Amino acid sequence: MLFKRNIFVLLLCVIYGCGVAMADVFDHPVNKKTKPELEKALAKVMNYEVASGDFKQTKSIKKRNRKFVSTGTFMISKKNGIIWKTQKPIFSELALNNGGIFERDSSGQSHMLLPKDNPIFADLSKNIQSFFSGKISELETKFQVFYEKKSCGFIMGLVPQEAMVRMVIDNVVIEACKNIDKVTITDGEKTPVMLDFLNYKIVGKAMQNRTSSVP
Amino acid sequence: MKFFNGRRLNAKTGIILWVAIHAILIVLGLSVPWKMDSDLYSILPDSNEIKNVSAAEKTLSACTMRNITVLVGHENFDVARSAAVALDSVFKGISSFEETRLFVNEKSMDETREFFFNHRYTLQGRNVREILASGDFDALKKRALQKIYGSFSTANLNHLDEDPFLLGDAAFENFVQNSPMAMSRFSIREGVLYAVDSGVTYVMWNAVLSEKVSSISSGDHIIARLNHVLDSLKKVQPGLLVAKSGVPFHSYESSDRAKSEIAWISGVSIVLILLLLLYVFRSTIPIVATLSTIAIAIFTALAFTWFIFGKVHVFTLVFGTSIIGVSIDYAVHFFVHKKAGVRNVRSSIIKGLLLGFLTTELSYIALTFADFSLLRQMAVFSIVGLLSAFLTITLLFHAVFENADGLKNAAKSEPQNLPTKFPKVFLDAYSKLPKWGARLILALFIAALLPGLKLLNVHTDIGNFYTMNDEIKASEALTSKLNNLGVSPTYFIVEGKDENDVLEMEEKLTQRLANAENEGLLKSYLAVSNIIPSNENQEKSYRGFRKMIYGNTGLLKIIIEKPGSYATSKASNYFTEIGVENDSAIIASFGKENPFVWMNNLPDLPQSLNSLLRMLWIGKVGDKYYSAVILLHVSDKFDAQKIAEDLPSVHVVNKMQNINNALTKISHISLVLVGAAYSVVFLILVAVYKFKDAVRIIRAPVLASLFVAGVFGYMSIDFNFFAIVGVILTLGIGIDYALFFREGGRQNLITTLAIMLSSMTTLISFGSLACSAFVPVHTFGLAVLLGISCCFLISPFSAKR
Repeated sequence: MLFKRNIFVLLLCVIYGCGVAMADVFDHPVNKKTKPELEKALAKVMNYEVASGDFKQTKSIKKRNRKFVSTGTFMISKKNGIIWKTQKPIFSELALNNGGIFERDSSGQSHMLLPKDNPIFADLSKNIQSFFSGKISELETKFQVFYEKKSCGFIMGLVPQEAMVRMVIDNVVIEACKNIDKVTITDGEKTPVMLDFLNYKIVGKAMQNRTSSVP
Repeated sequence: MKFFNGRRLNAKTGIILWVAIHAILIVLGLSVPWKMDSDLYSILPDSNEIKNVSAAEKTLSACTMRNITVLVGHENFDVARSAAVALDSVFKGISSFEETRLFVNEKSMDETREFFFNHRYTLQGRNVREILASGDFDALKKRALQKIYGSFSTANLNHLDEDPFLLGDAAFENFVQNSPMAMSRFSIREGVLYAVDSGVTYVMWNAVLSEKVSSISSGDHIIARLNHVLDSLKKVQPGLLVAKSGVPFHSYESSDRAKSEIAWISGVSIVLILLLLLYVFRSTIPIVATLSTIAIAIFTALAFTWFIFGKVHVFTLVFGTSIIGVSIDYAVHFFVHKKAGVRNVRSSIIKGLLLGFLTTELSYIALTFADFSLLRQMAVFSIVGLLSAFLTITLLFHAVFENADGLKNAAKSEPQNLPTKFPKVFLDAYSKLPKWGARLILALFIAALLPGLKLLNVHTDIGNFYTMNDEIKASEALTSKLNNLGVSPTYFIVEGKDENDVLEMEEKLTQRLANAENEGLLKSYLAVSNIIPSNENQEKSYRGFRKMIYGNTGLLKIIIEKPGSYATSKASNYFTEIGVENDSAIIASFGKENPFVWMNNLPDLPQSLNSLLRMLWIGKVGDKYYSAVILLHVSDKFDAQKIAEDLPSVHVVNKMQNINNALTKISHISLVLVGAAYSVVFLILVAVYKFKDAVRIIRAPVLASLFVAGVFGYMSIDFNFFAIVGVILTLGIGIDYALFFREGGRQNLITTLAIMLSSMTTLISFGSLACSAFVPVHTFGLAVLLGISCCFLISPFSAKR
């Protein structure tokens, strides 16, 4: 059950975008004063209906000094869900919609990872709604939230409340400027996975102001 | 009473005979150990196959019957959690519980992951197993690369040197997907399992009752204590909701309800019968004598049945209650005649009594030919019980309560010391009826029954026997919804000569289930072989992997020689591609520990896998081994029998359905046999009374039985096993009324009073059971109430005008 939980955490982070993993964000837990600021900043970067672009993922195995880099595309629709395609070096596709979470491999074979009535999926859906509307209080039921304001945008840190979840995902750091630029997910063995977002395109309410953005 | 040579049987000889017969029957019973059987499965037809499965099923049930789940809910998670913690602290460590579970072990996931990592070459699911066995290197590589480069993979890449194909993750994933938690709506928060429904957060608390805890309710029962604690928690914390689930709650609730019901039904009926008998006899002697007759009859019947069958089923006791009815009738006849001043009562009533006894015995003898041990048991119990009652009245009562001077005085036509007002009114009503009027009434009666008989449904459904109260029903529904397992009542029991044979059989079965799953006939299934494959498949996976990486090089050579010497070029290239410098860690893993998990020699298992095995692995029963394969979310089109076709070691089990079928079959057979017996009875009556009178006698119980069936048809009540037992009781007792009327004549107030008294006691004792909320008891009571009432009203037509 828990191994699937990190899907939730990962997707959660993707919605935010990306940033450089900056450990010192964890010195700044969100408080009464900074929470409205974070909510406002979050609402600003999430002010779209559909976002799409490319990503570059780097999994670093520090123990062995090894890096695994993959690239692909993503599309986030507040209405229809998320599609995440890894193109290189090997194809795989992940889709999240009202029916659950589905995975497809290069041979076109698809299978369901999580059905819609799964509690993790329910949590995920609920939290996606919270993220889209910038409700940090709801996020706080699952994570300790950290926030640091930057000259351009902000850095946000998330640490799972549950010790068992922390055994899989230790923390997540999200960096955003005009858009969500970078997400760093550190697993229970302190191995980071970095997601850089490129060629960011958004469609929706703020289109006239921010038609495209490259981090 | 005379012997065949015409000499009278004197009182002393009668007592000796009575004692001798009873002593033999009882001593035989006492010579064997007594055992009461309450297993519903044991009523099924004698078949070795079913017997074995029954024993295995019983073992499986024993594990689940003591489990309980309590969901403590509140709008606020913290409140729900603290209430669950309080509940756990009250019951943790007490002897009535084998274990209680609230908190989830934080390390359990790591333990499970580690276990599957250590056995990654053998404990694989069907897909990976097939890849390994077929040596499809490219498929294995592609699968691993997707995990390595995939964006939402949970694979731990820190172990790539030891496990470059991420087989450890694949084995763990396979376990998660094939365990009940894959579907559950519960997840973990602050160390406890919780789920949300309709805005309420429920925290789960589980417990297993200790084996010594009785299923019968009592004031200090652990379930009573648990209910009390939950009520207190609800009082302390407004808005707290509680959902209780598990067999112990049902057993407690139904036995609690049954206890109070039995108390008032039996209390009221005993008081009424005692008052009635006291009113008629104005003495306690007939009452004590009657009760003694019943007690002796039941004890003798019980002892002899034990001797014959080695055990007595509880259903036999239910059926055997007919002894009580008949014993009361015989005794009442005896004492009414005695009180009326008849000097040799036995001689006066013997013909009717003997015919009544023989006809009833004949019905029961017919049932001994049924191919159901339960029915034979019931028949033997009744035959012996009736024999005892008959002998007590005719031999013992005669010796104790009568002067054996052999003179028979006619009773006064209106004895002054007996209440004959009601019998007189009753007889007057019949005597005023013209012959054509009686015929018309009977014809109309039969015509009125026909539509009801057409609507009759002879069927037994034990699912209708127990109705949950609204609270437990809602609790079960909520628990089932949140567990989301959708466990089907139909499941498979797999049999094998040893542990591995069971797993091999399971694999044949699960291959078919996997196909059915793909066709959408079911959502999933739980089977041990999904997690722990058969020895052969484990070997295939292990050897397949080694061959893929090292070709046909022997394991010892691989381990001894230096790394990189024997890996195939494909494998070497792949290692280079993912940055694995050499295969030394892989080689080391081969020699590290036993990669196999044999069911006959299990290593230390993680808790999560242990729980799953406890649920599914039955183990050794008799000289064979068994496991259960549980079906989840089954569609209506799923045909379990078809799936198990040509798999003789796979048994389809649906306990409720099997019992229903067996009871319905017993019902049909009972009716046919009793019908056959009644044909013989009719022939005997024809020989004794001639055809016309024989028809008059037999029509009372037969019409009464048809009346019961007709009313059940009109009321759309299933004519189930217990209704049929009621009808057999009606046939057994009812024919006595007709015979007594025939013997006593329609003008005989003493006979009429005796029959009235008999029918009243039967109606009060058995008819009152119709008030029971327990469906089988209610159905039985209703059938007797209708049958005896009808028989009593028709019987006077049997008498000579």
